[in-house]
Amino acid sequence: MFNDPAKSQFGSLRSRAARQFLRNPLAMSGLLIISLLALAALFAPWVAPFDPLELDLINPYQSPGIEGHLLGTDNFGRDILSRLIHGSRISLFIGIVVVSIASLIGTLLGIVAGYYGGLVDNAIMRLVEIFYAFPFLILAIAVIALFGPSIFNVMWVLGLVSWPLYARVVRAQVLSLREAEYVEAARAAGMNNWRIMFKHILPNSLTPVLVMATFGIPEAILASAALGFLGLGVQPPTPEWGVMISEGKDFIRRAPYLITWPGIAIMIVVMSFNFVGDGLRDALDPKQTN
Amino acid sequence: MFPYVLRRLAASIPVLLGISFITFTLVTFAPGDAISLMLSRDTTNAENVQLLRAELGLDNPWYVQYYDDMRGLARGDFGTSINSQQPVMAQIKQRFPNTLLLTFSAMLVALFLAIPMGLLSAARRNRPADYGAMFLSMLGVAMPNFWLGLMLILLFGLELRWLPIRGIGSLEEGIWDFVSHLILPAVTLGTALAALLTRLTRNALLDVLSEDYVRTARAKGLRSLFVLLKHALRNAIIPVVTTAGLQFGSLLGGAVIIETIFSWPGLGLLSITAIRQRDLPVIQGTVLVFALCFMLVTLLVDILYSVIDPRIRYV
Amino acid sequence: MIDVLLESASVMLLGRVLVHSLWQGVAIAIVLATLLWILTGVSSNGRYYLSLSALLTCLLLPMFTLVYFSTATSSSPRFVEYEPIPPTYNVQRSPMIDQLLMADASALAKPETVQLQPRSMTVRTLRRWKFKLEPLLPWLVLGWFLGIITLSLRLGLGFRSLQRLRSNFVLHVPPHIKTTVLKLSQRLELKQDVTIKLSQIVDVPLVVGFVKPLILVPVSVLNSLTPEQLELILAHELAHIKRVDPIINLLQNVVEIILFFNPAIWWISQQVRQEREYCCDAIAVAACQSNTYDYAQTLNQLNQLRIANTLRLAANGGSLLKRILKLVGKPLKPNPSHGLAGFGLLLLSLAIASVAMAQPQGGVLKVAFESMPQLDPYKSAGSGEINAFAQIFDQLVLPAPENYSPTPHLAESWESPDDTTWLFKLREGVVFQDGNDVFPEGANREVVAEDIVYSINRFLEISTVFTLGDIESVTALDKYTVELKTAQPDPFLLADPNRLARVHIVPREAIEQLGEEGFALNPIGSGPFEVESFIPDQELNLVRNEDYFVTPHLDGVEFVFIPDPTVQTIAVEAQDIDVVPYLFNIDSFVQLSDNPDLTLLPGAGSYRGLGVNVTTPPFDELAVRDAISKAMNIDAAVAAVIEPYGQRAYGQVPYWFEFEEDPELPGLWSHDPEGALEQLAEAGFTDSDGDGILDRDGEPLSFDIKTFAGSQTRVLTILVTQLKELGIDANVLQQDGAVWGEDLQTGNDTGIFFDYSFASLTGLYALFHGDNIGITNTHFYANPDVDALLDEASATLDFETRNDLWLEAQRIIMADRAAIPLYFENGYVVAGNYVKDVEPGAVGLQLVSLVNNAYLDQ
Repeated sequence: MFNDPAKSQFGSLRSRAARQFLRNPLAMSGLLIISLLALAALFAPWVAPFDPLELDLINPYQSPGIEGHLLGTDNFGRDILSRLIHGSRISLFIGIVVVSIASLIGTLLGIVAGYYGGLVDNAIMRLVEIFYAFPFLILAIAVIALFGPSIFNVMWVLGLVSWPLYARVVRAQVLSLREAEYVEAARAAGMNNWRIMFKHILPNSLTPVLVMATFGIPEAILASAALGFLGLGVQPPTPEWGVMISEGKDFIRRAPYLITWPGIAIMIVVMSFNFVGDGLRDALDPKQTN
Repeated sequence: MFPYVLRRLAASIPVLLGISFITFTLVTFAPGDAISLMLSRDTTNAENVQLLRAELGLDNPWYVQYYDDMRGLARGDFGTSINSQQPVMAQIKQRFPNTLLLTFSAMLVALFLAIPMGLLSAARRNRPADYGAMFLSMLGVAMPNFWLGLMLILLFGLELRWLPIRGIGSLEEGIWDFVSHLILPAVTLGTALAALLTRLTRNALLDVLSEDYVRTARAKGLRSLFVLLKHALRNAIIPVVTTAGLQFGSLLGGAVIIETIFSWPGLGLLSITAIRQRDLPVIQGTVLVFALCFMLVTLLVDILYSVIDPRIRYV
Repeated sequence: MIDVLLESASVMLLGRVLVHSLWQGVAIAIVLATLLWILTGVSSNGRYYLSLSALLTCLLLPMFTLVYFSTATSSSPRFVEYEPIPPTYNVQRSPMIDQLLMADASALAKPETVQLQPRSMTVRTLRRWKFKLEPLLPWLVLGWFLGIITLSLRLGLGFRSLQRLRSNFVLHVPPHIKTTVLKLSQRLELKQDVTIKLSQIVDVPLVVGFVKPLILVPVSVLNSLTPEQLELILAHELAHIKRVDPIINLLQNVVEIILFFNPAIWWISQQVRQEREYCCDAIAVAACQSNTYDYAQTLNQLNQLRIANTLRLAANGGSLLKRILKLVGKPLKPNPSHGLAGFGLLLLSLAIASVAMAQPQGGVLKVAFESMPQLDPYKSAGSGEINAFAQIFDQLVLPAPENYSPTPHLAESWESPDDTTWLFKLREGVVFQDGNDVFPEGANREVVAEDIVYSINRFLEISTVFTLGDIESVTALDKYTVELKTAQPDPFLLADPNRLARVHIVPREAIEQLGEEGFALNPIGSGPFEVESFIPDQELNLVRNEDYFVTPHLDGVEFVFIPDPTVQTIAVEAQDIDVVPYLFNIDSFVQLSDNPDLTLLPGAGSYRGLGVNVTTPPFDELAVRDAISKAMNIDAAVAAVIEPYGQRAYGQVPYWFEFEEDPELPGLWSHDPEGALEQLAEAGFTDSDGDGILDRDGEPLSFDIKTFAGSQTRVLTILVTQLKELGIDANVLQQDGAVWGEDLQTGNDTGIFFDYSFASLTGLYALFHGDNIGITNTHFYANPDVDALLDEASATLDFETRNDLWLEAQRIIMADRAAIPLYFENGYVVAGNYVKDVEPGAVGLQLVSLVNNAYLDQ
């Protein structure tokens, strides 16, 4: 039909970005850790040395390294390493689902607001402001306290409270693209609004969404751990990391490693994602210098 | 400038209404209310509790309840707590300063940690000190704050016994009592922000350092540290302060969990307790105060921005 | 009449003997102390017999004095005119006391010569003393009598509770321990048959009984000591039996009671006890061919489970440090201050005044609380508020620390002229706290009957928390008498700690002047502490009420806001606070009981069990409910998590209340996984689709055990794991408190089990009576037979009948599997071990009352 300059620009950008990303050692090591974790999570039953739910009430609080329990056992005598490995499944899963929900809602509303402008834009932006000003943890706590704690509720609540950021960024992108030549051209060619939005505008505003999503995953993991810590997230005996810290805090003096290990696990994952996110941003955003 | 502020304030009214409506609907339509919570305790005078339900208007249809709530709010009345049967306003008034104290202290901690570290990092770019500072900053962002809080309690409260681990100090007991109670929660709450700001300071400084006028200054033979402090930092501080201000909201949010861990009698703790007890008026009140606070700070940051950087003008 | 009796000859005689026995006892103690000091190196056995004979001498000497006096009076009338005789006491007063008071033993031997000696100044002073003393003698005797009666009662009660120990909460011992006991008996050449049992309530090993001695070993000891250590402890107890110590100890108790007023006797008796333990220690070490260091280690461990009861011969009697030093062969250095102490003892015994020991005064007790939004005692009942109410206010009656039976508090006494009427006689002179907005300093506003009437009426009208039952009327008959009429006979009005003992007495003026809201922030009561400052949910400072009828030792109480239960335990471990009034998380017990700086005081606990809406499928089938109860190994779960901080429950009626334990109940329950599966198969549940989960008509047997956040997840986690192993897909679901509550009240229609606790005396009525369905009966269990039994019991004043009815109802309910009881969990007060004389209390932390007065021993 006609040449879309944005597409080719995006293409060349992509290869340049890929090269830059591959050269970034931090980002690569982050990616490596995440890949390893993802594999471990995927094959958790085969990787984990023990059943994460198996109780050994005679041998609780075993110090790390004893009887094959590399990281020790918890107050029920369950193997901490196995629980961490199985926990990575939940944390990664929550992170990905939350970010998918948030970016989906955010992108959609952002495009609509930016493209149509006027009243629609105004309404959506007020909604964004409401969710922005709402203390997010309180909203999440309230919803979960009211609707009951479950992994499902945690995911949709966290998704619901984190979409406004995506909406804002996408809207800003759309505003700048709306008047772009190729969009004008498409409009002149009689293309309908939805097609323009999704075929021409959306692909070009995805770059910042991708970067934000990379940073969104660790944030979601931290938030779900915080909820788990407050007893409002995933429920025991599920080996979620926040829950593990919450359960372990009662034994802080007797066996401090009950909380140190899951804390370190959270830190490693969050850091890895942040490295990857930094690498992506540096690679995709030409304006960024370092 | 002034009309702009007015406009912003006016725009916040629908937002607050929206927030109060969401809170109200959430609590009203969710299963379980304060009364059923009372009834589920083993020692309850069921008859009198039911009377209380009627007295509190919990029997009314939701729109009547909402209307009553809004009428009260318009008069600045947050209603009466179901649980304590005390005015919500009094509770908030008494708790709010504590939360502000905590968040401002955390902010101070963050700035005091971040700016020197960022400076160091920028001045020693790509040297071990820079890598060290950046690693710490990565760590700080990645650490769950509740976990850090527990670790600090374990180390300074239980092992070393240097610092108190709970509650707010009293100035009457001396300045140390006051400060020592503040240290652990403020550090816990401020760490993540400090980490963020360190990176930001570093990057902003590096940006500025690459600008022409700094190069000129350097070329003029001015000492590097002097340049860094005099020219670069002054310009680099703008994004840092702005971000710090914008992050105030997330500090408020984080205060919820930190207050729980350190028994800090602030608004966050009040709201969590209220949520657990289904104390709608208190939930409503605390959430609104949080939101209002957040919006005011955002506005303040915008204004501050224009004061620091005269190039920005609002009309 | 009583005057005549008091002045009778024999009373005067007795009085004199008692006075003399004082110095005699002191003299013997001094001699004994000297001898023991000289004989430091002699064997414990020798020292033991020496001390024992000293004690016996103390008893025999007064007898000699008595005989001597009675003969001396009758045979020496010539001394009579020798003395100036006060007009009131004119007969049979022996002048001999004069000489005796000179404390010269030779005077006893040669009475005739003494009077001829010229009187020194000292003698004259003593004579003057004597005249002052003489009129007091009858009262002394009276006091002595009362003392003996009280102490005997105490001894009797002690024996009764010991007897109970024999049968209550005992378990059979594992066979290997029996073998150990047999082996040790042979080694010690013990002829007697000795039985040994495990007890769930004692906390140190001890010997009970004289004829058929029984060794009780606490379950906890079994778990925490190694077999070698246990053997040492058992040998120690067997040594006691071999040496017939229980009987000697009884005699010792008798001597102590007769001569209770003499501190010297207590000291001597203490020596006997101490030496006795040394003897048994030595025997135990020899019998087990062990070394003394291991034994010392064992003793040290036992010390952490200490209890003081002089009636029991416990393996930790005597001073621990001394015992350990003795064992490891370090000679005990004679303390140079002993001589001074002896002198002090003499002074003390001469000053016939009371022997009450001065307790340390002062200090502020820091108590943790989770939440305390207001302080009007009728408007909330979180544990924080309740503990504050207990300090600020008084009630008519207070539940006794031991068994929660009502004891006098503001009401000095009460009676029940007929089945529905109660008459309370108030303590006079109790005043409301002053120096506040309502009562100025020195207002002396007395608590009178009108205040009780006002308070009860206000309570009936607004209390959202507790009920009083059906009250017909409450009237003030006079200034100090209140009449309370109930609609039906109500045995629980006083017996249940959650009824009358919850009505805190408040002054009408305070509520009228301050308003409801104002009173809730500045409450005024008559209790031991008054409010100095209060910020809701933040801080509460109380100071001593100087006018209280028991002057508190503490200067004040500071309530410290710590909303998170875990932080509370951390804070008490860090000695940041002194007391955690209620330990929320049973898991923390283990960690806290390991800490030697803390004491865990058991108080009223609660019943924990699984319940289910018995009208929703599949739980409407008895067979299914029964099968689930059989599928779980409750004993194992309870043993792993709760013991020794709670005990397995077979019914709902908690053992700490008035109702007796039903021996038939345990027989109703069993752990039988195969049987459970068979039963479920008969009911139609099989794993037809091979997914590892039982199902019926395509519906898997899957349910959640709902519990409110944080409550008892450990036990539930274990039970759920057990059920899963059998193909029953059970899961723990932690809910928010309010959601959980509403879910239960509206029928819990997902047919799901829940964890339920209930602490009140009338739990069966609340949880299982048909009238309470949807309110407190969330089991939706309605059985007309049960209802009838409970109704009848609730209106039966006779305890035996009430008890029978109640237990019968319980048996029916349990046989119907309306609930699956899991365990009774002790409520614990955690305190630094320097906090003394605190009672956990059934209606809030009891710091100051007629029976206790807390203090800090730092």
